[in-house]
Amino acid sequence: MMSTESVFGKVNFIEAKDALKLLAALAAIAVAIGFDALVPTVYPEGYVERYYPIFLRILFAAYLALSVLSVWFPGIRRRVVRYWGLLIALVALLSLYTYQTTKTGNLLLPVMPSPDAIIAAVFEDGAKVWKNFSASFTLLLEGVACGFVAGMIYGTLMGYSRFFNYWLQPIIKVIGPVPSTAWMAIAMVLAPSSHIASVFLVALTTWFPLSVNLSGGIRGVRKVYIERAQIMGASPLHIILHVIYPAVLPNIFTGLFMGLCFSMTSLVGAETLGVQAGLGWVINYAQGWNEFDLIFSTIIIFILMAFVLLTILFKCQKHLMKWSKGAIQW
Amino acid sequence: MVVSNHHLIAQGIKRAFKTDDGTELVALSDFDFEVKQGEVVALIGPSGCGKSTFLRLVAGLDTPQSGELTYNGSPITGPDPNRGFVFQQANLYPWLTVEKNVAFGLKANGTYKENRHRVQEMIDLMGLAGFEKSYPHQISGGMAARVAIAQTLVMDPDVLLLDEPLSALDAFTRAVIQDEILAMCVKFKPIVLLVTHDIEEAVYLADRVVVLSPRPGTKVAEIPVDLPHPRDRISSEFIAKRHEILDALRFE
Repeated sequence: MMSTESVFGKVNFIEAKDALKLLAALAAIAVAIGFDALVPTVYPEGYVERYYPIFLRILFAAYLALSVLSVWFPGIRRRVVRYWGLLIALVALLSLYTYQTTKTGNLLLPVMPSPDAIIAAVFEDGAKVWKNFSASFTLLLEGVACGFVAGMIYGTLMGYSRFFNYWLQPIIKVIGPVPSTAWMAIAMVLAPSSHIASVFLVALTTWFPLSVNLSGGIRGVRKVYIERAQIMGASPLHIILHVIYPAVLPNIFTGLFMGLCFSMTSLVGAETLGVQAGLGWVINYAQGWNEFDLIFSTIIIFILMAFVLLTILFKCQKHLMKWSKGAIQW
Repeated sequence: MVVSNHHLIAQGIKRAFKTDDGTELVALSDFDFEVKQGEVVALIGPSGCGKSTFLRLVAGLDTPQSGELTYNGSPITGPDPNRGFVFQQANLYPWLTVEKNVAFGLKANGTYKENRHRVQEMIDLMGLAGFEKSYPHQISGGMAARVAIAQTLVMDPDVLLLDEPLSALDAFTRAVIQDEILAMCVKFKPIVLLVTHDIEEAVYLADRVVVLSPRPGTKVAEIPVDLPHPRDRISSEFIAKRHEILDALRFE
């Protein structure tokens, strides 16, 4: 790659191919802004878009800023260039959807709110959204943490000891596959509070895939790894901590990944039926009042929460498994 | 020189395995064997002759159905760092660096603090200097075999059990590591039991070669190799020994 000194320091010239991609994505956003500004808003009558135009402009400014920075930072460039196609697709979809809603009224309210209305729902009810988001997030973390501890212990006992495997295997086979929402009514009655019942249900959905993955992984650990440790005088505890757990790290992460995904389902279930707060409760409430814009914005918050949590999970995996040849992609 | 007091005695050893269809597969039967400190003995024979089974019995990873297996007079009941085992494939812990793989045993039995200098010693002895921070997938097969040997030697074992540790290596690397094993034997004077398919390797390293026949695995010959070290692989005496062993391996 050619490079030269300029007033800004060392400049790595962007390859023409990459520069074109950046320009194409910026042009696409610009077209979307122009389209939104020039085509009159007609549905519902008298509606004025407030958030969507700002959103597009922020998107444009952010991508432009990153593109400029990418001249100096190859790391940023790789990522910015990588998302050019997806960005164009996103902008095209948003434009199409805006056209079908506010610009023509082909898709009817309240079931199909425009992008503008969806964004508006987040901002105009900011305090409520935040309160419910943090309620869900806390519940999810508490549940997943309990499920993680329970799953690690259960999976280890089931994978490592024949005795425990005999007694624990049937329990997990019976309880595991039942959707946690099916336990809801019973849990609500038995648990001292609906919050504890919800934590229990979220924990249950983390515990199940983690235990199954972990115990399967433990039984699959190469015998020679364990025998070698035995010959070198390692105690069973040392073998579990320093041979078995490192060897089954991929299984632990797969189990956690599945557990986290399932947990979000049981979270919504728990919040719809049990506790009177959280994103699941908002969806249920909004449905009752036909506020579909709030449902859409809650779903988007859900997507963001899941994305952030799973990204953290995979970053941890990448860090802990840097010894491994094939890193898992997310 | 240390007084030759370590000794390993096997008498009438039998070990059979149940196969899936319920029949009994006799891996080792009526096996008598004796070895004392400083001796290198090679166990040679075709697949299924029970040589690896015997090594696992000595390591304490398995128990015989009948017969007596004693080390220094007491029966072998389980694994012991004193009887080091180098497995067929290096099978290093992929999540540990070379250095940490070598140090594993010392950390496992809690003697790392007082013996940490031995880790670097073994790394240097086996020619691994400069690769301390590498992970197993980053090093060659020959390097991995060296790490596996260093990992065992660091425990300062009196008995070294080698289960075809060099079988997966190319001829040149194998010859180099064979010399490293010999140098180590001169330095530490352990009992060495070497299981191998390779007649040349057996004659090159061993003081005595035990030939086993398959199904049931039992001893058919014991051939002393009294050539001085370093042995010349193409000398007529060396080749005569190879013939002698090859003849013993031609059973009906």
